[in-house]
Amino acid sequence: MRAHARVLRPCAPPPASPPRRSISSTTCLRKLSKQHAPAYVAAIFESAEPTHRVLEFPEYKANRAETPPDLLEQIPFVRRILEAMRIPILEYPGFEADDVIGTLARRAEALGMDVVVVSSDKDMLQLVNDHVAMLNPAKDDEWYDAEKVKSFMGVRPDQVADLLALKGDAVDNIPGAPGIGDKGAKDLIERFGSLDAALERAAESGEEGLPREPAK
Amino acid sequence: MEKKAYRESLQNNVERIRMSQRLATISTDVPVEFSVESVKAQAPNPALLKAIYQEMEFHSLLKELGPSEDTRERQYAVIPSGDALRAWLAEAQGAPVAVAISKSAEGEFALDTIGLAWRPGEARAVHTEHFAALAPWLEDAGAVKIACDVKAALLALARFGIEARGFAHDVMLYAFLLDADPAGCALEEQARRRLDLKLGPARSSMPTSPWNSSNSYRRRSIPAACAGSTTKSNCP
Repeated sequence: MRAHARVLRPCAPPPASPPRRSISSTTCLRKLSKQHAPAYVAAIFESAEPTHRVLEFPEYKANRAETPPDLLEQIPFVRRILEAMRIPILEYPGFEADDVIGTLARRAEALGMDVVVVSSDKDMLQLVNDHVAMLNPAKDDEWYDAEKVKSFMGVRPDQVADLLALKGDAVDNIPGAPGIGDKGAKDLIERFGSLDAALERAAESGEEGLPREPAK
Repeated sequence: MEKKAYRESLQNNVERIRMSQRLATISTDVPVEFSVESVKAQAPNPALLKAIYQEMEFHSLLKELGPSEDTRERQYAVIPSGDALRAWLAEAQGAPVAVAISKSAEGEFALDTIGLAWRPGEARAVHTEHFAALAPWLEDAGAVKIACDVKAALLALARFGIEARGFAHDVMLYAFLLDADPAGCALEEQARRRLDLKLGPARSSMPTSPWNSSNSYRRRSIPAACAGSTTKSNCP
């Protein structure tokens, strides 16, 4: 029998007054616990310290607006709710929550568990495989397996990071390759299979442009 | 041209693209200490949850949790005589006295017992045979009284020819002023929300109280309006 593990990000509350945000987070957590009854569960919080991405590229996520004060006020409340629900909070200084979730998901998978990442962050879709799925509570609990990722992102889960690297990501302020865009990035990943292969072929190709061999 | 533009972009921005790849790729091997046992799912802590729900006024969630066990000491008794009633009221020394009047599920007033209390943990039941002794106090405008749904209480008492006065506080009215929630105004709901207590039939909630053991609690004459009542009534 397989155990189920669940890696939670605190549910994204809708824009509303503080009490509504609070009840939204609370009902979201209750619903997840009740409906999915995980065998293992943890909530991963973001590190307050700079992560390796910010150290490498100070503009990373620098385009984001300040967190609204009323949302900041909710964080202690969400911590209390998690404590009352006995959902452990994990936070590791210097490590971004995404990387902690990715690491724990792979470790749990290695232990034979099926993992569900609860998040509304499309970056997390790159973790999806036969034993890791993503659930998006901000989108009516939409469930992402590998097939769903392919139809949603246009590429396989293991190609999601390469796709974002090529087309760039305005949400995280990832610059990407200029002039390629979403369609071009999908075309290139589809044709070459990976960003590495596309870069390699671009370096080799002649004046007529990139060759059209399908990905192996 | 389009393909050439792609090629040139890839050729001319290798470092930028590589950095974007590092930024977009989620690490799956960061050196974090973690034990699976520490994240084993556990049942929630109801006391902590309740405290938060109460603080945030999450009434529907509180209702799901149910009331806490009430283990407080109580001193409840049935008034045995008019003299005892007058002596007990005199003890209050002018303090506001809460008056509890039962109501049947059908909305008819089924009054055979009036509950009185003026300090926490202590209450007295007055049966119909002593209503006459209670009437002067009920009709004394200077004797300050509290009830939940004063209008209903006055109507119920009027059926016994008692023109009650002095009801200075209506818990139901205050509840509505505080929450503007008609569903939260009943005494049972108020007790649950504000005191985390469950109101129920006296005998089942107080197995050792005099109300339980005394046959005098039993109704001697069942008012017609009460006979058909099913719930939410103190009628046996």
